[in-house]
Amino acid sequence: MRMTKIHPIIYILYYAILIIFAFLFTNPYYSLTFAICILTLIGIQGIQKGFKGTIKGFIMMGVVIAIINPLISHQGATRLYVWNNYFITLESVVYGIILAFALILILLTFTSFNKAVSYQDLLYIFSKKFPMASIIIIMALRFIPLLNRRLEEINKLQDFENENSDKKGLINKIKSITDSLIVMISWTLEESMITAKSMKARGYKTTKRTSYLIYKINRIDKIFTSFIIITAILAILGLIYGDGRINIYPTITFSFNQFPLDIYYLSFLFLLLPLIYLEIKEEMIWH
Amino acid sequence: MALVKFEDFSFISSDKEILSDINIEVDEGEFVLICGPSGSGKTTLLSHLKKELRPNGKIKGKILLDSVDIRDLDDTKSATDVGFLFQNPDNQLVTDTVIQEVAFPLENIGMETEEIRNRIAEMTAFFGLDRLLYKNVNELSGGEKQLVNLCSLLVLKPKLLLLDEPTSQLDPIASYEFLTILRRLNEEFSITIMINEHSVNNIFPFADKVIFLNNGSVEYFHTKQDIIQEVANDEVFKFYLPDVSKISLLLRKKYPKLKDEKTAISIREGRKLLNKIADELEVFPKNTNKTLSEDCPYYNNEELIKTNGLYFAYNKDNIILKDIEFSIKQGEFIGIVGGNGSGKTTLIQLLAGLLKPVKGKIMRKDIKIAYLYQNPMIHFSKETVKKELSLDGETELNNKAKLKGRVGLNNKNQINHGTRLNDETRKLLKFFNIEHLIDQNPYDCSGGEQQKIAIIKSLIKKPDILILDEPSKGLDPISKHNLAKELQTLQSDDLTIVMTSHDLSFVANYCHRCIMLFDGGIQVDNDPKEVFAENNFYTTFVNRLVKDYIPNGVVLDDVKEKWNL
Repeated sequence: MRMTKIHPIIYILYYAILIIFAFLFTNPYYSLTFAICILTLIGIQGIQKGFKGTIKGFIMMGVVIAIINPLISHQGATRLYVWNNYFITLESVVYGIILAFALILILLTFTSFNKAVSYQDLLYIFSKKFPMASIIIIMALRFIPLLNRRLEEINKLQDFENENSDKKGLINKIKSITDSLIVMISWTLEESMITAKSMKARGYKTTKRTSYLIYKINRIDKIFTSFIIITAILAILGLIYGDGRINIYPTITFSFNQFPLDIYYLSFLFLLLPLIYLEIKEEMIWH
Repeated sequence: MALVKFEDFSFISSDKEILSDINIEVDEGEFVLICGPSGSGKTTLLSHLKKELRPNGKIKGKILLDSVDIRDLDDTKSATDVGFLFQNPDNQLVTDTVIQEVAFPLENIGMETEEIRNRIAEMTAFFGLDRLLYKNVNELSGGEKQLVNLCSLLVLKPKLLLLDEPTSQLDPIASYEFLTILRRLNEEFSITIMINEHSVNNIFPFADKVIFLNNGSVEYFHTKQDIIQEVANDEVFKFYLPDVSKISLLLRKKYPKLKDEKTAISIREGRKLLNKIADELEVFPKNTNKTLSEDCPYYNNEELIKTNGLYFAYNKDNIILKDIEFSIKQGEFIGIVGGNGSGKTTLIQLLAGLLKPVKGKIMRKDIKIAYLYQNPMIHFSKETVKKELSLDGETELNNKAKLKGRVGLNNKNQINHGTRLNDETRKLLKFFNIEHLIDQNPYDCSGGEQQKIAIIKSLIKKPDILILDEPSKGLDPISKHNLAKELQTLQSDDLTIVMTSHDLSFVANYCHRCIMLFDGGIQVDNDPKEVFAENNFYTTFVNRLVKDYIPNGVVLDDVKEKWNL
């Protein structure tokens, strides 16, 4: 349970802005700032077990994109010959790298989004507009782990029986797998009859569904929204004046010497900070 | 005025009269218990009271709820006024968290969010579920699940609650808790309750009226006191009386002094009755703690399974079994008891080899083990019972033929042989009395029948040990008795049987050795009569009643024998 609850729709707005910005702001300084902030946020939100694997996957994907882009795109003025007439351009190499980096940032943002907004929150927004679809999702959420557990039990029994008899070989293995699936399907169908009855008995589909979830717009929501809107507008203004983006084609206009320390960069930075601030504040309560 | 009224109600489905000429009236606030053998139409009777669940078929007569024909009730009213709880706590759950499950019916009828939350707050607090609100339902125990299901009905503020064997899947303590809640709902809120149950010991004292149903017609329908007198000599329904009443009836026959006393139904009434004739009753001394070693006929038999310092856990924070050391000998009939989550199922799965111990060793002689799940459905994958029971022979024959390279004309014959049952199987079918089911789909059979089919299926392989998980669960008293007799016959045929059970009198009656698990270890391992004589709470109803007179009286037969009733 969290102390500061922000309305899920505002979370969605915020993360949507972040995802768009990850694409728009191609200046390496901006991208690096983004990366540092989002990683910090994920770190504070709590790293799950699978995170290492996920991030490895993201990086692999990024590398593949960075390699493929120059191989198929030949835009740009600076040609680097590789073999006879075949060339790649410096610009497309850089573009590939920037694109890959942006994609990794977006995926990281999604990871953080998953942490911040639970499926319950999503369903709340969803269920107002699509009450039927949302209840089906909820049922699936209960069903999938249930099926998994059943299959585990069935397999356990199947292994046990096969061990006792002397059935071996590929064909028997396939047979026993089909058997398991048949058992699971008939078992599940049988039981879902009762589930269907129980739903019917409790008035499912009598009228239009409502939802028990409730969220109020609080002061914190208003402050948060105004903050992100102001900073986002300033950052976009900067983008219009050419700040935060680099031109790659036809030639790269970027030098590492120009650190873009101005109002636009700062507003971009501030846009990334509020959730980190809230998370730290939350942590502070307990320490 | 009656809340529920059956007027000459009959129900015919596929040319069979399932219910015939039912005339019942139930007043508001009454607690009605419905008993009867499986297949007597109990569930059908209840489902007819719920418009959404009416089975297909021809109907004669009518059922009135609040003087409105059930068929004319409007959808929302039927959903809210009548609550229906099913047997299995798992299947009726629809969603993933407790709060969502409780909110589900309220959302269905389109209630405002604020009102939904009020009702949830009120009801979950009454049930003590408020701490579990955001828990995933898959993590709850069976008893908690059934409470969530009940809570999810009560938020609708029903007038009539229908319960179809709600505690048959629960352990004794969980089912007692569940029944207590039911009683409070009935007493404090005057909710009318109609309940189907097999295990009547707990519930009989709560009931106002009892219906005994057989072959689709109401055989007896009276207040509980009257009905006890009526069925005292009935061949079928005397099994459905609580143990306390059975003893009380026997005592009254023997002691004229008790002639004008009411039949005792609860333990409290029973003990009061005993006090009245205390001087005339013979008091027996308590047997000293004998152990299994002395006069157990199996004591010197060969050890089939021996465990050595067995440990099991799924993760290191929750060790399920600790340092289990015992052995199973040829020909034994062992009952394993213990509370929910004490590791009974885990233990027998380890013994069978379905699970591997984390630490320790299991030594098995060169034996075949058959294992039966609590839910027999897991064992079935064929369309008919016949195919289910003949499959193994077929594949083995085919395999052998293939191995020997005789795949030719012979093979054809063998395939034909496949769907025929061998004599052994036929004998078993006859023995278990289910020959008539042979062409049915196993899924269409009742729970008890499925159990038996699964037992036969495992016996075909000629196991040395049969391991059963809760075989007595959900069976009516007569089927339970029959199953026990059949198991005993198998035992005398040199089959070793190990089973877990929540049903203490079942274990006390038929097992000769009882193992009680507690805190992951074997707490007691002794003759069941000794085990239950030692316990004060975790013991049979008979023992609770006669403890002061016959400390070792655990089952009805003990009492009859000692007091010559």
